[in-house]
This record gives sequence, structure tokens and C-alpha cells, in this order.
Amino acid sequence: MPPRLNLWPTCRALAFRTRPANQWSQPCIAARARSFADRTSNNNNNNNTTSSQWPEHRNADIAAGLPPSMLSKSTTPEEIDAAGFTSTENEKALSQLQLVTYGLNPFDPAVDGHKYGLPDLPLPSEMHMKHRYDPAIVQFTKLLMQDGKLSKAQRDMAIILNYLRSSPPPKINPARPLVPGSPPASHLPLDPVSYLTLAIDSVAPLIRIRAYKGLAGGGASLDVPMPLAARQRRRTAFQWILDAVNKKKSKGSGRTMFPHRVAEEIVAVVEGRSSVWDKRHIVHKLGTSARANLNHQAFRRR
Amino acid sequence: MASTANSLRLGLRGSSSQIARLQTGTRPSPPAAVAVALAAALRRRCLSTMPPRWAADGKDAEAPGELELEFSRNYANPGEFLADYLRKDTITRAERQQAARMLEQWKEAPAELQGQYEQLARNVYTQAAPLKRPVQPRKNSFWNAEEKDTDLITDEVGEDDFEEDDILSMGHGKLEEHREAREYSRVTVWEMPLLSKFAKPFVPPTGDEVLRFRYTTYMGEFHPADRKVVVEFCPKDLRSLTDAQQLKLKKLAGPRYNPEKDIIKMSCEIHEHQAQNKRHLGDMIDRMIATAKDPTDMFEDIPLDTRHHTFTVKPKFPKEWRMTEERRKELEAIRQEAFRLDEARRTGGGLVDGVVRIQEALAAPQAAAAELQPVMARRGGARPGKQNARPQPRR
Amino acid sequence: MSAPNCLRCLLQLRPSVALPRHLLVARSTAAIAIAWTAPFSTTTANNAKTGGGGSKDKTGGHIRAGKKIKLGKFKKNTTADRGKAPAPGERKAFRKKILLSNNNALPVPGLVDLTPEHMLDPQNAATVLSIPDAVVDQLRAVEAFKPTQCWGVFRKPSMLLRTETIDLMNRMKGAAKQKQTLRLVVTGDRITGKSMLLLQAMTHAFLNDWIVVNIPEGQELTTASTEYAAIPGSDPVRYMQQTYVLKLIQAIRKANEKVLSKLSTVQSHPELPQHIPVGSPLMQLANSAKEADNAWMIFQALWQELTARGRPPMLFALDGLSHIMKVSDYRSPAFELIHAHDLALVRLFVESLGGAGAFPNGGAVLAATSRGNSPRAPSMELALQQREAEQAKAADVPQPDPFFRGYDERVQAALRTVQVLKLSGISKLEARVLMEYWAASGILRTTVDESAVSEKWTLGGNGVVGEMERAALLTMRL
Repeated sequence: MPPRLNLWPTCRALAFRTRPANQWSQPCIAARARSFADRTSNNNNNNNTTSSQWPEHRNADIAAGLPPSMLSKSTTPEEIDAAGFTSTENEKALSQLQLVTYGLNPFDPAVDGHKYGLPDLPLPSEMHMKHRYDPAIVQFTKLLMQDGKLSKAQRDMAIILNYLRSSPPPKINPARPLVPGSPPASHLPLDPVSYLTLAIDSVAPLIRIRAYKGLAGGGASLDVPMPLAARQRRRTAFQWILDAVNKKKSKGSGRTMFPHRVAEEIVAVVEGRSSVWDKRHIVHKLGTSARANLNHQAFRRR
Repeated sequence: MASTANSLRLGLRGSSSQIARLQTGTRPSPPAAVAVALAAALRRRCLSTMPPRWAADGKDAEAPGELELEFSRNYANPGEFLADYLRKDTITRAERQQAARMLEQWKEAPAELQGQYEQLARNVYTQAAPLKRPVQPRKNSFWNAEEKDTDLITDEVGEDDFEEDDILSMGHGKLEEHREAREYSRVTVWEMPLLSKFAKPFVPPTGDEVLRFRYTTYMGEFHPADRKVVVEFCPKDLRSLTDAQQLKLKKLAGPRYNPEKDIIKMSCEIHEHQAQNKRHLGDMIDRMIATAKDPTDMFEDIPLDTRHHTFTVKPKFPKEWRMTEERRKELEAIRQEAFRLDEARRTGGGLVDGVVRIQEALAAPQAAAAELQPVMARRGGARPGKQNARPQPRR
Repeated sequence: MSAPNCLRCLLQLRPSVALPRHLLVARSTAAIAIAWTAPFSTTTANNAKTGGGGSKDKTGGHIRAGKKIKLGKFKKNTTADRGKAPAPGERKAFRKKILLSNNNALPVPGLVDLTPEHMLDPQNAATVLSIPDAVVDQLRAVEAFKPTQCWGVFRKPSMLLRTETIDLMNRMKGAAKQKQTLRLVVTGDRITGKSMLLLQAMTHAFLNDWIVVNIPEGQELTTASTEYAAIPGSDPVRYMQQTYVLKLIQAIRKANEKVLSKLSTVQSHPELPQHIPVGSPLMQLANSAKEADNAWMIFQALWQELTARGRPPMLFALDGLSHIMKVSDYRSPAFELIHAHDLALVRLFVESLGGAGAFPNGGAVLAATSRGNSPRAPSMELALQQREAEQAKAADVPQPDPFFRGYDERVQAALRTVQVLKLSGISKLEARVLMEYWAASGILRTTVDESAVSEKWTLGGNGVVGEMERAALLTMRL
């Protein structure tokens, strides 16, 4: 049985380079490379010559979805047809090429024949049970949760959002700049989710200090700054906020007390009053000074 | 330490078990004389944790003596034995006659046969002689370890070896299963149809037979519960009672009345036999009916007590909720109507959209402020659509 | 266990490879000399302190201490700051704080203030109208707003006029016109808007210049949380709650100032310590209640004046009915529990509700049950079910369980002739109007179309208002 031919297997062998690749100094390598026109059963000369005419960077162009006008003139489908491929796989490949000339994606699964078509991706978040809420809010809610009581944490989060919604617009401290591109302060209360996310993202540290125990010699640890992923940064910031909340004395009582305190702290963060900013500053400063440790002997050896 | 304890244990077992065996005479396989001699030898053993048990006077003392008497003599042929047997005065007359007849036959037997018998007896005695000899424990032996184990009757060596001439035990088990199934199949086919001779047609109880009894049988086995009799009846079936009397009967029954099923259920197992218990129940029901009919006190001031019963309400799927064809059409019409209304509002401008409201409200003061303040040019052009987007984290 | 000697010290004994060869000999001899002077010993070397060393250990030098056990290593530092502790009552005040406006919420276009006629017109069913500011102050004075209600999210206190609201207002109006007293209990499932209906009734009363007396929580009267004393000379003994009554008088005065200032006394009250002549303004009588001691006497005098002929109609309302329909937590001098109906203020309400103390000028006595915070009151539940069945002319009126002992005859008697209004979910039209109000306020970030209304209405258990609020306003999806 001849191998199933389409463009995918060929594309898989490609290396996408951001840098221009070296010139083809040895054309024989291209000839040896298995291209989509190869036939394992019937390996005649004619076939070999065409395969050498079809270097791989053309495939890369097709796979990259370039318009057909940018393809090389020498390799139009007519020419390939003239070379005489008659098997069904080749016909399929040709039809895919035809699609490319029409400006369509030959690998579009919708074209491939689905009875009811494919749903639009990404799925609308509200329709999915697991993605009902904003991902950041979900993360913060899970961090609020104690003893696995998610429902209580969700109620707390709703109270926090309602507090943010009903508190006056924050007075932003220019000394504590928020994330660039953030909406103006007056817009925040009507979008409490953004308000909360903005507060957390603004105060989130960029790095953490990782201490390599004993690497600095004499049992002293070697502090090395490590970058944090977005989710990690948010987590750290929210934990700091929760720590700050826990250290403050409660002024009221009732089950809404805790979420109110968290919400007050978030307003304090946006207004630049919170002690969390200092924490962030310390971490960044420490990271700047520990930057030199990245070139430490211990790491150089690795 | 351990070896001492072990040897003590061995000594204990050897002496006690063998003595016990001798005294009860349960195991007469070694000849008794040998056993007696052995016992005598064992009794001489100095090391024993048990005190030696001396034969008491009476029956126990006789047993070894009798044994000794029985087997102390070696008979050369059956004739000798029979003659000796006839000399006893403890045998009955019939035995004596039979023995005498057998002795006659022996004497009439040819001499050649008699010689063969005597030869056989001699052989037996000569071969059995070493067994009869009392075993002397060797002087240098340690716990008589070299002693042969005469108790070992079968030769166990190679007993479990598979000789390749049989199926495995699991196969046997499977075969046994088949046999059993076939057995029951045979019973089903051949014997069970015969039971139809005993079949009686079901006659539903008439209106007069209001009591339903339940008995318990354990198929002939004794069981304390097989005497129990349970009776159930519905007070409504007692047509001789008026409604008030029926109500009184229910009140009399107390917790034996099930208000959900309207059934009185009573049981009795105080008597030894089923019939007695049944009689007891019958009498009880008669008395209850008689009391219910008694008009002196109709218990009208006492409400029917149902506290003993838990009413279980099983929710059922409501009939109105069933998805019928009409309901489907109705729903479709409702949806069409809703869609029509929405469309009308959308075109007419009556539809309220929260997001749009917020965007308009936020844009309004900005527009006012834009006239006052110069607009800051921004690289890459202004992105009004992005203004309300959630801030992305710095990466 | 770590070695007591630093490995580096031992390493120094070994000749370093990097050292030049000519130094090596001297170095090694030195090391040998050290080794000779300090032979191996199980005790640690007792060196003189070098000074200026980095190590802070007492052992000094390179002698490492063993691994120290640090207790509570994973315990979080939860020391609270040493700020001023909240004053007594401050924590509760936070819990009971009521916010009535949110300046961030958008003003709803076309939202008009309520007028007395609005609440009577059946055309106005399923509309959202805002409460006038003056009435808001009055309602606040009588504590008609509850902290669990969602007032603080919207710009202005507004409410939905339900069909039941219009119906109740018309009945109140009719009763007042005929100088009769509407005696009614509002029941219903949880968060179906019972307290809200009371608030609407009070709004109606304030708009129509009625006198409003409101007991915001029946619980406060019977849970033994306020002072009480036996009323001297009463037989059977009744108990007054002076502090609460003082608070109530002040609330009445503050809320009904507009009405009371126009009225003057028609009776002389010789029993009062302060002389109030006939014809003096009622506000003077109300103002004379300054301390708890004579509050009950003044309240009685005030009540007599308010129920005298020719006064405006009165609304007497109470929330949390089941709390006053049971044996209270107060104790008599004989240390027996006092029935709630023996408390004078509760008795006043119960008699008004039961029809014994009718208002000669007409008015309404309204009570609302509570489902969230309510002790079990079987008599009350049964009585309300019976009244409901009687109103609906149902075939089988629920009967008391003959074998249950917990019924209370006094409660049965008190609720024998009341009317019952059972609240349930709102209709879809009302839900739509309400949700449009939410969306127009910028609180609900969705398009209010039929599907959205249907969704929230269904999520709210067929239009239970509180559940709809929870699904739409108190959610993480904003």
C-alpha cells in the first residue's frame, strides 16, 4: 500500500527558523529528503527529479499559510500534474494545493467533512461549567478558600466584588503606579473584576528569590532571582494581601467581616497605601542585588 | 535451655500417650504382650513429669490381665483353639454347639489340610516373634531416637506424585458439577411433572374469609420461630361492624394498625405449637370484635393514634411536566413569542443592555472632559476598544 | 549529626595543588606542627576568640554548632497590630450597618419617585419606583431597612411594585377609609420579600401621613437582651421593657415628626411625672421620654393619645412574628419562664393583631414571619395554615395533631381572626422589570432579554426575589 500522502508529514519535518537559514549548498540533501511526492512502491527517475525540484522551504511557505502568489513560480500545480501523479493520495494533495491557490486553508477541519461543523473556538466561557468565572477570580477564590469550603469562598469573593463596586473610585497614588494601560480610576468601580485583577497584577512581584542552600560557601545560602509566571505572580500577590489582612485588627463582626477587610486592603493597594507595595519593593530590590549571583561559579559549572 | 524444654516435652508425650493408649485399649494394633512389655519398660523410665498412674483395683486392672490370658498361648491349629474355647464355662449353649460342630469338622478334615494350617500358624508365629519381643531401649541412645516409628502405617513417599494417568482435581470438581447439574436436570424432567398430580386450583378467599394467616416452616428442622403465626386483616372487611365500631376496632388495635394500608397485623408465638398460637389469635380477634361492638364506651373522645407509623410520601413526577406533543408546541410558541418580543424591543430600542449602559455612561463624562483637555497622542494609535478590557499582567 | 569540626579546617591540612612547589614544603611542615600541637581529641578546641570573624556562634571560628531545632517553624506570624480595640457596640454597628446608596451605580433614566397614588393603581404593577428622600429618612428612623437587603448596590433606594403590594396597599387604604383595622400576617418562603412588603406598607403609610410604629425585630423583645421589670400593680403580672420602649418612643417621634407636630393632646395624664396639660403638642409628650425609668408610662400615654378619636390612621408593624409567639427567655421572680404575651409591649401588639385593641381611626396591624431566623412555633404555623385554608375556602382545613403537646392556646387565640398573605415568587414580567432596573443601574452586565430573564427567574426558584438577587448581584460573575 502506498503511503498516505498529504502535506502534514512533510511539514512535521520542518524547522521553523526566525533567522534566515543557510543557503542550500548541497542540493543532494534536498533530493534525499522525503518529500510528499515520494513513492516507496514505484520509484522512477521522473519522480526523483520532481522531488528535487520541490525543496522544503516551499512546504514551509504553504504550511505558514502564505498566499499562493508568494509561492515560487516554478512549482505550480499544473507542472506537478504534468509530471504525472495519478494515485488518489496525489490527487488529494493536488486538491489541497488547489485550495491553497484559492486562498483557503487546506487543513481546515471544517472543510474535511464534519456533519455538523465544528464549534467556534474558543468556546464561550459562560457555556462551560468550569469556565463560568474569570480565571483570575477563580484563582483568588481558591486562595480565599479555607478547609475546602469553596462555596463560602465564592460568597466571600462576591462580597469583595460588591464592596469594590460600591466603594468610591480610588485615588491613585502616582508614586505607586499601576499596570500600564489600566483604565482610569473612575471606571474601576463599575467593573469590579478588573478592579480586583488590576490591584493584584499591579502589586504582583516579577521575581522571587530562590535561596540555594550552602552554595555561597560556609553554609551561607546563595540568593538567586527567579522569574515568575503570571499565575505565580498573582498567587504571591494575593497571599501577601491575605497576610496583610490577617495582621490587621478586625473592627467589626459577622460573616461579612473577612471579605470586607480583604476588599479594604485591595482598595488600599490600588491607592498605594498598602504595606504589600513595600514587600514588592523589597523583593525587587533584593532581586536586583542578587542579580550578580546568576554568574556564580556554581552555575557556571553546569 | 530450649533443647531441655523440648526433650522434656518429648518425654512427656512419649510416656503419657503410650500409657494412655495401653490403658484404654483403643489401639490394639501392636500385640498386647508387646505393648504390656513396652509399657513396663516405659514405666521404668526415670524422667517423666507426670506421676506414674498405677492400675487401680476393679475393671481397669482386669483389662490387661484378660488380654494376657487371651493371647498368652500360641495355638498350633484351629482344633486346639476350639478345644480350649469349649473348656470355657462362660460361653452360651449355642456357641458351644457351634464350636463343637466346628471342632468335629476340623477333626474330619484331611490330615494334609491340617498340616498346612499348622504350618501357616507356625509361620505366623515365627514371623511375629520379633514384634512380640519387648523393645529394650539402647543404653547409649539419646531419647531412644533410633526407634522405628511403627505408627506410620502408610508409606507417604510419592503419594502425591502425579502419574500422568488422571485429570487434575479441578477437572474432577468440574465433572462433579456436571454430574450434579445432570442429576437435577433428570429430576426436573422425570420427577417434577409428577408433582402436578398434587396441584390444586387457586380459589380466591371469599368475602367471609377475612383473616390472612402466615406460618413459618423450616422444612422439618427445629426452630424457635416456627411456632409463630401472623394474622392480617382489614377492618373494612368485617362487614358486621358499623363505621364507628370499625374505628373503635382500629383504636383497640393500637400500634398494630397500619393507617397507610388500613390493615391490622398481629402475631402470636407464646404457645408451643402453631395451632395453639393460631387459636389464640382467633380468640383475640373475636374478643376485639366483641369489644368493638360493645356500645358502652365507643372511645369517641380518643383520636386515632398514628404516631407509631411514619407516613412516607413518595414524590411522583407531575403529570403536567410530561413532555407531550402539545407541551412541546406550547413551549415552542412561548419561545417564538419571547424571540418576537426581544426583536421588537431590539428594533424599537427598548432593550436594556447592562454592558452598553456602562460603556455609554463611562464614555459620556470622558467626552465632556475631552473638550477641555488635549488628547495625548499615543504610539500605535488610540485603542478605544481596549479601554475596558481587563488589564493583562506584565510579562 | 554534623561533625563538630569544620571540614574545611581539615582540608587545610592537605597540601593545595595550586600552591607553588617551593611553598609546599613549608606549608606542610606548618600543618604537621599544627597537628602535633593539637592532637585528636573528642573535646572541642577551646580557642581564643579571633575577633571580627563573621561567625556569631559562641563556639567561634569554624566550629559548627549542631542542627538546631526550631520550634513553630511553620506557624504563621499572625500577631495582630496593636491598634485601638473597637468600642463596645462598634462591631455590632458594623454588622448592622445599612448603606442605602452607591454613587458608582448609574442613575436610572426614567425612574420617578413614589407618590401616594402610585401604590394604589393596579396599572403600576411591575414597575420600579424610587422612594422619596424624606420617606427614606423616616423608614431609616423606624429601622425598616434590613442589612441583608441589597440597597447599597444601587444609586437610590427603589423598589418593585408587585401585584401583592398594590393589593395590600388598596386593602390598607380601604380599611383606613372605613375606620377599620386591617390585621394581616405576611408569610411565605425564604427571601420572597416579606420584610420588603412590610417596608412598602410603611412607605405607603408615610406617604399618606399615617402614624407608623414599627418593631423591626420581634427577636429583640423576647431573647432577654433588653432590661425588663414587672409593672407594679398589674395582675396577672406584666412586664415592661423600659430601654426598648424608650428607643421605640424616640423612633416614633423621629419618624412621625411631620404628623405628630400637628397634633396636640386631648387627655390629661396625671400619672406622668412631667405635667402635660391638655392641648399641648404631642411632640412635647414624646420628647418627655428622656430616660428609661418612666418610658413605659409615657409610651402608654402616647398610645392613648394616638388611638384617640380624630387621629390619623396608624400602622403597627412587626417583623419576625414567631419570636413573639412562644415562651420568652425572660424569667419571672420565681425563675419561671415568662410567656412572650406577658411582656407588655408584645401584648400590645398581639392584642392589636388579634383584634382586641382596635384602632378607632382605622389603620393596619401587619406582622411578617421570618424563615431564616425563626424559632419553631407550631401553634403559629398551624394557625396561619388554617387561616390560609379558610381564606382559600379549602375543603380540608389543617387540624392540630391530637397527640402533640407543644401547642400554645394563647397563640391560637391571638391568631384566630387574622388575615394571611402568602408571598411566593414574582412573575416573569416583574422579573424582567426588576432586571432591567439592575442593568440600567450598571450592576447587571448582561442584555436583559427573555432568555436572561428566564434564566435568572428559574435559577431563583420560580422568581423568588432574594434568590434572583443572589444569582444576579451577589455572584462572582459580574
